Amino acid sequence: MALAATLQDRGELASLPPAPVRDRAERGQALARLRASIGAIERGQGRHAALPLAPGLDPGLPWGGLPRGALHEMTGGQAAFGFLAAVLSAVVADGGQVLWCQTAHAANEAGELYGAGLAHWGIAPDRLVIARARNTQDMLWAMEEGLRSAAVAAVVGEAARVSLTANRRLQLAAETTGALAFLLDRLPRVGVTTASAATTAALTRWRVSPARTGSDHAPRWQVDLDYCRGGPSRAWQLEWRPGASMTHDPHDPAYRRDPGGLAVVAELRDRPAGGRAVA
Amino acid sequence: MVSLWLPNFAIDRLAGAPSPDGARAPGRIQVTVVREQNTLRVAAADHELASHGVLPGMPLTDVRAIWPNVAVAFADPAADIAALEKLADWATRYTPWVALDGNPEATIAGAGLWLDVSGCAHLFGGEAALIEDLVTRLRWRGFAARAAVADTLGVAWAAARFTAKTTSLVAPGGARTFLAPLPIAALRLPTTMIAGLERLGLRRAGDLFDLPRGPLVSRFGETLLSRVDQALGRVREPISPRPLVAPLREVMPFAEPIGRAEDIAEAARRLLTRLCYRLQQDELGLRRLVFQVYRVDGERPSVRIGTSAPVRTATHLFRLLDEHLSSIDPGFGIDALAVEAAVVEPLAAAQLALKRRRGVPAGSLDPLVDRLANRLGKADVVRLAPSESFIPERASVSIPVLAAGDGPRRRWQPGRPWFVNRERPLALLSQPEPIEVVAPVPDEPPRLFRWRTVLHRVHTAEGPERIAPEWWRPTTTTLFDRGETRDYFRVEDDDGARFWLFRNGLYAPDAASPRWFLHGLFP
Repeated sequence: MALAATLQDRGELASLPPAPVRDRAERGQALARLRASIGAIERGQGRHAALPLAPGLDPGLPWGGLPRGALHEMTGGQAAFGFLAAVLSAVVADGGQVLWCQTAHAANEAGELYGAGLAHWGIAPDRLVIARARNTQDMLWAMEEGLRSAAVAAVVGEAARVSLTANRRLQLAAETTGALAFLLDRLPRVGVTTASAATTAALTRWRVSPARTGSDHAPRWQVDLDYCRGGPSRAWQLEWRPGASMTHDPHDPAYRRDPGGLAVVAELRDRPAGGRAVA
Repeated sequence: MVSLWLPNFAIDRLAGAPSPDGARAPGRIQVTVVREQNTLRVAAADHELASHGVLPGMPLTDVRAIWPNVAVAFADPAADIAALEKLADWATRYTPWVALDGNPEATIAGAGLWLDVSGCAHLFGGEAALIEDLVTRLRWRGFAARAAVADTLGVAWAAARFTAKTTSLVAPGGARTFLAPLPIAALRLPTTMIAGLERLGLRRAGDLFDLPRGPLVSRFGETLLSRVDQALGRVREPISPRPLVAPLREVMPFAEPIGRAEDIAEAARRLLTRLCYRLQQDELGLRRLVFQVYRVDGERPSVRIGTSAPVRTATHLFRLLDEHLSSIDPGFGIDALAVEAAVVEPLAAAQLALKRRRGVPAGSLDPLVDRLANRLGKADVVRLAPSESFIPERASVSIPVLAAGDGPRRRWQPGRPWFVNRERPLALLSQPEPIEVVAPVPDEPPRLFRWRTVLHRVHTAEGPERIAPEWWRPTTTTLFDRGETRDYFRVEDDDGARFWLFRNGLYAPDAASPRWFLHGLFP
């Protein structure tokens, strides 16, 4: 609607000839069409296909997967890192490159990215470029450069909290090229993590907490979708398992074909739309 | 060939530029001294003192007896050379071929430069005008200077030092008649040789020209005659220009000095466009670019840019350069700007894509990586690469993306396999952190541990994975790397958080119990 308002301000809508309207039903259809096209212009949605995450999880998201060309926030220490790694392995399996931006503080506190571990998770380190910034400002700049460059499929930034302006800039940059943008907070925290009430320009906000593993020791997390634009917030228990023919030799064709995947162990419960409930 | 002589370089350098009215600043250095066997002796004296008989080698006490208030500084030959090199850089405004006059055994004091102005003189209105300009500009900066133009280095050298005028021009072919009446020292000879020749009654350079060569060589060695031959142009004498001038260089001089950031940026954009056009003609790509600023006051600040792959796109290079333009201090103005392709690699012409597919990440990472590395620093944009080691912290190394070409080990190669077939953590602490544990001996995983003040109760544990030290590496003194066997455990606490712990060493009956460390975090 903002676009319509600006057009009106400029007097461009006023100069259009009034469309002949026959009956109520047709007018309703025309309005819906206009709203849809303006919405598409405003948000750039639908231009970029969504990234499928897990068969049991995708139907719960309005886009049928994680929407590309958008910013996603993930909090919750090392478990959030694991969930993000699982998402990135799907990006890498599609042939995409990943830019990882971090500040020295994040690397010191939460550990440095470990190539051998990433390779095991299906993120071949040859598809990963790490940019180390001195401060958050430089890190956000690097993220935006990456998002606008059209050379990478996903950009990750490690920051506990960024301003709404920075948030919105990242979202807009992601929309231009259709890359996935992530803000990850993986600093170890004491106590229970709660949903953040801060407003955000991101399309989704995920809160991940560790869950006790099953008998096969596959990593398992409770994943709370705290905020989801245009959809209800939900929660799942997810498990990640390596692919059956997981191999560490990149020349083996199975290396990229079967990067393992996420699976839903249990869907916890539906929560009211827009809810900021604390688990 | 131009020979430039700065008879009082060491003093002039310290004294700085004179004030417009020619008055001498109070406290200006007049004498430099060196300590020689506990005596301070004069190394160089300024023009005024020299005319009163103060000579190099004189004790400072004698000078003080004549001039009680003389201003003294210690001689610093290294700084002299550095200043002379800076001056040589400045002199490239006349010609790219500038060399220091490295003639250590010559008897004449002061410093000198060679300038090969062949093909350049007409830009300054001829040879005479060029050296006039050179000497005048140096005088403005406070340097007493003499310059001479001649066919050969030897004659130019002699003309600069043995004629009374500040500039002199020896006509082509006039070398022999010009040199003949000058003293022997004009032939750039060592002091001992001059003394020997004078003992024989040979006082003028011309005396040597027609003597039989054999006896002279047997008595004085080859240096003498080669100097004569060089001066007369019978033997070629090359000079080695100081900075290797890159062949790919574009210069933009300005009629009036510029200083505004927008002007500098616009000039840089045009220079890069010109340079990239030439690179395209030669099918070359640029790996390292030097952006050179010639300031009015003679300073030459420069900006260097590296790229991860050969590039000849002016817009991309300009974006890299733009990050650094704000750091350039224009001072009182900029006389000229230059871009220089310092390192180039072949880059064949490429067909541009006719149509880009939508939604597919297009283009290579190189431009992005260049921009990141130029702002964040070369060492801060890295890729991870495997290294052949079982010690976890050594198995993954980060290699700067722009470090290509610095030896095969440091070069990042895609697709090298990782030597691990067990699950490894996604994040490894940069240093293993000591933890307090409660663990049964000898080989059990801990029941409880405290990391960063938080107590974790272990619910499940897997291990040990024993990693033996690499005996072929020297041990270090760090707490966790003293060549001890490590037993790694994957543990899960009651909340489900997973950690990678290790015990550094084995239990032994009569030794202190080994320490535990937390090394990584599993998701």
